Amino acid sequence: MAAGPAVTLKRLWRHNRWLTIAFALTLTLALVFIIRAGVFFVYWQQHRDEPIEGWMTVRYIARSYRVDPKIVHDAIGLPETGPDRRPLVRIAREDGKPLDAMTTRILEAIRADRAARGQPGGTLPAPDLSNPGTAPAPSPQPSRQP
Amino acid sequence: MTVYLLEFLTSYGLPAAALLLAIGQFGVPIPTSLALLTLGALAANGDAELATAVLWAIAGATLGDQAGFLAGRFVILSAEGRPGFLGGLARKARAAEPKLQKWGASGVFLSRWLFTPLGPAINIASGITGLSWPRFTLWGVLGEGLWVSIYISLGYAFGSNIETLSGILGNLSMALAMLALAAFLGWRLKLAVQAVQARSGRKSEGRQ
Repeated sequence: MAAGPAVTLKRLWRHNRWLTIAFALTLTLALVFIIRAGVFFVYWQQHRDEPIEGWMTVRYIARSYRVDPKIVHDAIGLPETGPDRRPLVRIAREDGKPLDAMTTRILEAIRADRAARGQPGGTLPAPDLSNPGTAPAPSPQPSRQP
Repeated sequence: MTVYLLEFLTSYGLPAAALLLAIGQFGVPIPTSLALLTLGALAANGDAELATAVLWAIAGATLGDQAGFLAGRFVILSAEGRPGFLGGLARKARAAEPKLQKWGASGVFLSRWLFTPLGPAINIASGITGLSWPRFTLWGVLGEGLWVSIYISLGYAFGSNIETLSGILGNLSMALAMLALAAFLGWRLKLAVQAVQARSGRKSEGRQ
């Protein structure tokens, strides 16, 4: 065809407008998602210390901050009965320890451990708690125990 | 919401994870991939059993798939022969059946683990168009097995900062789904262009 792609595009626009728009839109969205994935990837590589959240278990936190699980375990005063599989929110609920106090002690212990090993403690990320004071609630709360 | 989901998952363990996956595979937009990554990370740290976690996850995801499939089939079987939107949908579905028997199984399989955002829609569509139940179930379970294994392994291997990891993977799978859609639309466009060119070719021949 001598007229080339410009004519083809014009024809497409005239006869298959919605199909053309949908095609361009899905391609654009694909590109946007690829870029977003790249941004997340760069962020992920630079942030290895994950802000402490209530769902995390003792050993998950220890892994994220690259310390011995025992340091986290002892920081929140858990008994010496082997590893504890519970997440912080459950420890808070069942043992009556406020979540924010626990995370503060954990971060202090991690900082102390890194200082003792001569690593730069740097700035540890602030905990990200949905409900910092999860202590034994004075108000009657519906129990979600199974 | 992500925080509550993770607290629910870690507080109540594997049955909670299965429930979340079932809800997610049915089509409610909750971060199911993140749930799987979490299971992997928990297993890596010794807070969950790996094999049991995989089994619970496949069971939950399959439950959600079946619910979507049955919803599609139930809605259409009750509407067949009736006028209106649903009746029309049922007639269209009947017409699409031969094509679906040929391609449906691979669609089900690929949408389980590669083009995951399309999964719930394909469950319902498979039910509507009458893809045979054993084929749907077989390819569904195989695909879910692959999906569950991939995400739990990633969670197991990386084990920390899985929320950001889930952001990477979520965006990648959306990009893949969009590329698949674009490929389909591009193919339709190509057919349309060829049709237009053939028509104009005939026209110019007529003028000479």
